[in-house]
Amino acid sequence: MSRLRNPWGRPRFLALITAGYILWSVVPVLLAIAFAFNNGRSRTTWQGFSFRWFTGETGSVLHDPALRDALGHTLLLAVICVAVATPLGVALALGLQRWRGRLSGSVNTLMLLPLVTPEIVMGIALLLLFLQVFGGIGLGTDAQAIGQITFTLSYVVVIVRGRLVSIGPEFEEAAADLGAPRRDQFFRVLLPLLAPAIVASAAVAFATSIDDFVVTQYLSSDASTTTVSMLLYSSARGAPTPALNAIATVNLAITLLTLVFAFLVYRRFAGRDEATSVATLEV
Amino acid sequence: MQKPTGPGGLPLPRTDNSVTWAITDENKPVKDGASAEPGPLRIYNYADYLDPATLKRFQKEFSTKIEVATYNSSDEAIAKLSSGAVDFDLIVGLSGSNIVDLIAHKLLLPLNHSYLPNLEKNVWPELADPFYDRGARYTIPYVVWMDGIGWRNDDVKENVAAMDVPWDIFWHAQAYRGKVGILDDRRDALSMPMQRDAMRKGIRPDLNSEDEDVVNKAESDLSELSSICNPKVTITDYQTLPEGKTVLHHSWSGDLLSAAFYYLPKGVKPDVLSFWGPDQNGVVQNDFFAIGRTSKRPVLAHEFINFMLDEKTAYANFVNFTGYTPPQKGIDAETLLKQGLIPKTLQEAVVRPDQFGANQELLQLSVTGQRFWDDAWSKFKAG
Amino acid sequence: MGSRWIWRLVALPGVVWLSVFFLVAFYAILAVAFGNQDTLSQPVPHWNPLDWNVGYVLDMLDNFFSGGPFWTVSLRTVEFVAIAVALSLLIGYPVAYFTARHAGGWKGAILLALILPLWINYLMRMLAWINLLAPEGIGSDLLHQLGIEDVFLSIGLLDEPGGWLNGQPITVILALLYGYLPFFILPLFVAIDRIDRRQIDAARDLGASPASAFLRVTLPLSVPGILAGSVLIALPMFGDYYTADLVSASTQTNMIGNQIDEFMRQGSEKVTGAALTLLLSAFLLVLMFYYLRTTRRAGTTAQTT
Repeated sequence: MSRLRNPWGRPRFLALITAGYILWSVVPVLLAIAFAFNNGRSRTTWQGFSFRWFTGETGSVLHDPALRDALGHTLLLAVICVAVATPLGVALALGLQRWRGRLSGSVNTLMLLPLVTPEIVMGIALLLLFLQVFGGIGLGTDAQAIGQITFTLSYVVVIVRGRLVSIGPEFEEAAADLGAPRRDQFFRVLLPLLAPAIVASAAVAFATSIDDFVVTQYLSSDASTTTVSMLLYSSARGAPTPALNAIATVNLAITLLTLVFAFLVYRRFAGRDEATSVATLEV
Repeated sequence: MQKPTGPGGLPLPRTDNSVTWAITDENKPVKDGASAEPGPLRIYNYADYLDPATLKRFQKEFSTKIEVATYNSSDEAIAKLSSGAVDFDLIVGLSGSNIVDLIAHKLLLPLNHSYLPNLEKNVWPELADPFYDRGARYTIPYVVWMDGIGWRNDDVKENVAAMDVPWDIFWHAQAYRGKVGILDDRRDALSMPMQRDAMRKGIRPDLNSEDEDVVNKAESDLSELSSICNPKVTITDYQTLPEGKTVLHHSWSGDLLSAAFYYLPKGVKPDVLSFWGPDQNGVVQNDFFAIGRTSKRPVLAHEFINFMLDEKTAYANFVNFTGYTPPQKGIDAETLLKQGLIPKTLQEAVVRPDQFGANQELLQLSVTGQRFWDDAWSKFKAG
Repeated sequence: MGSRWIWRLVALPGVVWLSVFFLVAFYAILAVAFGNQDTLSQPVPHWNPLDWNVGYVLDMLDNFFSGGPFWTVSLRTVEFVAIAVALSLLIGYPVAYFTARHAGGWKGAILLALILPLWINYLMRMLAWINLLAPEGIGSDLLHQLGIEDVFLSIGLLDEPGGWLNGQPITVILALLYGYLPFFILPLFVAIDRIDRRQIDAARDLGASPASAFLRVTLPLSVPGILAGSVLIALPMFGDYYTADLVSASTQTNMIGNQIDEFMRQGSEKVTGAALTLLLSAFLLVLMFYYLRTTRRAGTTAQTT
């Protein structure tokens, strides 16, 4: 293997930039997490360690109804989103992958469009849809869930498709050669092989739903449909307490745990490289 | 001459043209003597505009729950409410600027005064039967306020109150660039340069003007500020002033008191904050409670309003948190000052009934008139 | 014969869902923009294209093309996005290149650090960053100490020491950079990582200097990745409104997203808002389809390997 020399100077220069970027990227968040455990009301001056903003009597994530409800609603939406987007997306991925025909290209494009549409456009489109067309559903939890499902669907499809491509048709063909009926080829050969991708895509759908902001805000109705993201946004303009850091930390912890779990599952069953490529969202 | 009409063709209330809103058969008030429904009571309000401790007390006394959803500006509230996609039990903080919107979009439930004994008992008579809603059929006054200037007297060197035209300070605020604020409300914000202009000329401005030229001039005056001091357009002065993030703000009077009562960081004294409001020709107004037409808990909502109209509750809400004067007969600005509750620098922030006469209110405009203001505002906002 | 239709049926629910909640939703924007507004300022959509009322759209276009506020905002948005993307390239390319080529044993750890921000709530990251930029914040201090602040002060991009949150355009651009860089670096890393080393080796064997090998082999081969990454972050940036709102509430930094948000959520000009959204979408359509075509090509190449 030849030693490559880069033209920007010694690798140290690049290393410096990379280190600088990583610090810039990560340190503010680490500090924000740290201050969630601050004993006082300040978000910038350390006043000692405490769990008060998580479990304290007043103003904490556990006891302040606004915070607690926001967290609850966020999780509710995420669960609904996963429950619907995953099977829908898996089906769409399978169908698309095996669809031979001219329409498949257009459907593929349709599927990819939500991924490249700016959120505000999606938010407005859905807002107008639920105000003008589906007035019966109106705004609120249902609308928020539907909105989230619509774009997480694409993530599921992309991830499952990737796995389908790498699995290839050999296994099913082998099963067919051995005389297995179609149903068995699907349920006993394909689906198990697909399982890690399904789990991974469910996790991605979950994480995407939890962190969504624009669409969720546009489709919200009253206080009961506030999510953590919306809370972060509205409280930030004023003088927030570390409770905001606390709820953001809880939110983050849930997301990371889900993703780590999914990553490990995927890696266990599908191999390291594939897992990494999914994690980096290679479309 | 045909009077200009508002949204939905409804009449526009003015001080010389009071309006009594009809109560229709399809929208009748709730019956007498019913008991309060179980909660949660869903309230739609500005952020930080109801004392949390007071809310807790209500929840305890009535064994119920309260959920508060917030809006950042009256414009946003009307947009959301009129979309018809949300419903609330209680709507707080809107005023005569939007009363016709609310009636036209059929958003309000007529009130049953048998549940509201405190109205006649405690509230200033002028506001208990206001010109924009004779008989208080749909609204009950919440608090009163005026538009003025709030500032940090330890940062701002000029003696704003002593200026000939104090509004001019904004146009000379280069030194405070980036730390200046304008209210994020198209009516209040655009009326400010109108007041300044009129003050310079010594005349009384028409803050409900439907003259396109007047509105456009106000917009271009306001836009001058962008290069002079690059103001932020927000309503969070009650937090940013005490924290020093802004030092000069176009403010609602109550914000300064709220800042002094509740939001000052430790060790900062309330007399670093100052407020000035014009004696006449400015904006002095009240906002109100209203009950949502589709509310499933109208009696509970009535109980809440009556609760807030109780003198002690209103006082606590005011002095412990919101800073906005409730129009209570028993609450006197002089007494508050004597008790030392309010620093001298903020005495103008307490509104008295006699101030209503010399000043004016920002009231609902006709649809075409509103369009001028809307266009001017989006021009200003575009930068 | 049955197999053809099975897969189409399987895909059907997803297709129906997207058709209704994406295509129809988008059509609603068209119907509202080409519709009318009633006396209560509520939009009245015209669903039939033959019924379309071009009034509001023409008004909006007139405002746009005659240098009105919509033009000002749009121009500013393009500026912000262009600068933010350029800066992303400036910072992101070295990072991606380093990680792909020189990370060695650290590659896994660095990759993890690069992936992490993608999964942290955007608002949380932005708030964390803003908190540091506050006048007495650590970030503000650091920038002062490192002399970076002086640089900005001298070029006039900053008004006063510590005045990062005073409604400066530079803060908004830096915030956009902060928010979207992770989404740029990762695809770029993947693209550079994929470049076959043998091609570079071949160039070196033929006598090219390291600089030359980079400029004539690596860089050109990474251009698709650069373009893809740029488009990938430009698209959401064009619709961004929350970043400018959080970091600076000044009218001088309002982007087109802010203007649209103002119309749709905070005012009663939904029809004009829809018209403006159409304008934005039309502009972005070009970028969107470019991105889709390049990734589809990449996707099919992956299939054949």
